[in-house]
Amino acid sequence: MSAKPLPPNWESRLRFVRKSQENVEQRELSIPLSNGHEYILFLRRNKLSPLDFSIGLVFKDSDGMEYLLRRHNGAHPSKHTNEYEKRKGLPNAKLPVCFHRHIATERYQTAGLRIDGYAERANDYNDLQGAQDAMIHEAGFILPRDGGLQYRMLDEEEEEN
Amino acid sequence: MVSQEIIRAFKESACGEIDLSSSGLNRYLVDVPFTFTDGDHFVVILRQEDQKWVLSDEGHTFMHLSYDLRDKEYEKGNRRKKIDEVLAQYQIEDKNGELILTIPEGRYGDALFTFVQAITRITDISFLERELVKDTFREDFNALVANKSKEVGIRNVNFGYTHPTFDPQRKYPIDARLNGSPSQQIFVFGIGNNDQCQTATIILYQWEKWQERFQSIAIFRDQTEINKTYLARFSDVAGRQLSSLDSAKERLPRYFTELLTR
Repeated sequence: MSAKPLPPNWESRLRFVRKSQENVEQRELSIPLSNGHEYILFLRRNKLSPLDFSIGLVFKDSDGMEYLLRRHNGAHPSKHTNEYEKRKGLPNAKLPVCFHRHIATERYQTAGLRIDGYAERANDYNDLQGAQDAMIHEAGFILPRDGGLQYRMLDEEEEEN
Repeated sequence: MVSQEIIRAFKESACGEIDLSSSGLNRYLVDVPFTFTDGDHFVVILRQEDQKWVLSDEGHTFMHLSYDLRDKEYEKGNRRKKIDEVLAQYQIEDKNGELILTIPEGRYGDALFTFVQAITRITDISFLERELVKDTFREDFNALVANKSKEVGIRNVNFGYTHPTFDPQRKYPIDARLNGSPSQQIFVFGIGNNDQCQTATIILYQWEKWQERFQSIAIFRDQTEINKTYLARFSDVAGRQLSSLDSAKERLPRYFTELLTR
């Protein structure tokens, strides 16, 4: 798993900015690596349904292709089906309405399914902050040292667009 | 008898896939077997509003689209146009991102299938390749420039024009060059994204370097989408700018006329 150094102001850049007209709130943080690859951390929150949120990690390849590697979801009011496990008659094919995390797997990719189609129940968070903390902890993010710029950031102006 | 059993078994099996569970006052979660491509099931809520029953997705469908179309690509351009077509076809209201279908008296089943079908079609929109969606901008741009030139009597319009002397490898093409006279030529660029903005900037610089005389106009697919830094660089070399095809439709003939009479 690649180390993903977070910029010093990463939390403020991921903070939602309230826009009254929009029911889906969105924030994104680009994390460019020295090898030319890029990770994107995104947050989504549905204002109509407080438990419906998602924090995702996208890998952007140098050819521009994007791969959703993992997504920590809230408990949106619908179930989830693990299609691969369903086809194989495996016991963990169905998830009830619950907090869950989608994880990219090779078996889904090989089977021609969406790579982040597998999901499992998440017992370690029950809100967006908890889901974000779990993502930072699990996905190889490196928190910035106090006061130290960890990496050369993209132009701020460019990222705001 | 056998066929009756098949029918009964089929119905039981199909109906068993749909369930309803209470979730608050006059609010029910409708469990349907239809899923997004990542396996999450569609969100369908049955609830009472005033004296009517409605089906709602409580904003989840667009939120789900936003995982893949992260730059709010579903909110504009061709994708939005297609979404609006689907909503109109199925008489579904988009209330600030929440999809709502009012159920005609007692027709719960019809309404549910209509609602699910609409969500399915909206979800399919995420499969439209980004370039495919934006390519229609190029077609629209070409058609607009051709039509508006004709309107003001400009006959000579070349798309993809390159310098006949300095650019034998055709590396610096002008999207549309109007008017054959080198002293009165108008260059029109169609800019659909950041890359095209950067390319147009380089091309204009190059033509300036060749000391060519020209007036330029840029038409953006959506100028607000363009990176501020790229736009600033482009503005240093470009002439008039039109923020979208819609604004170009109105102003382009006047711009053409003004530039030609300079």
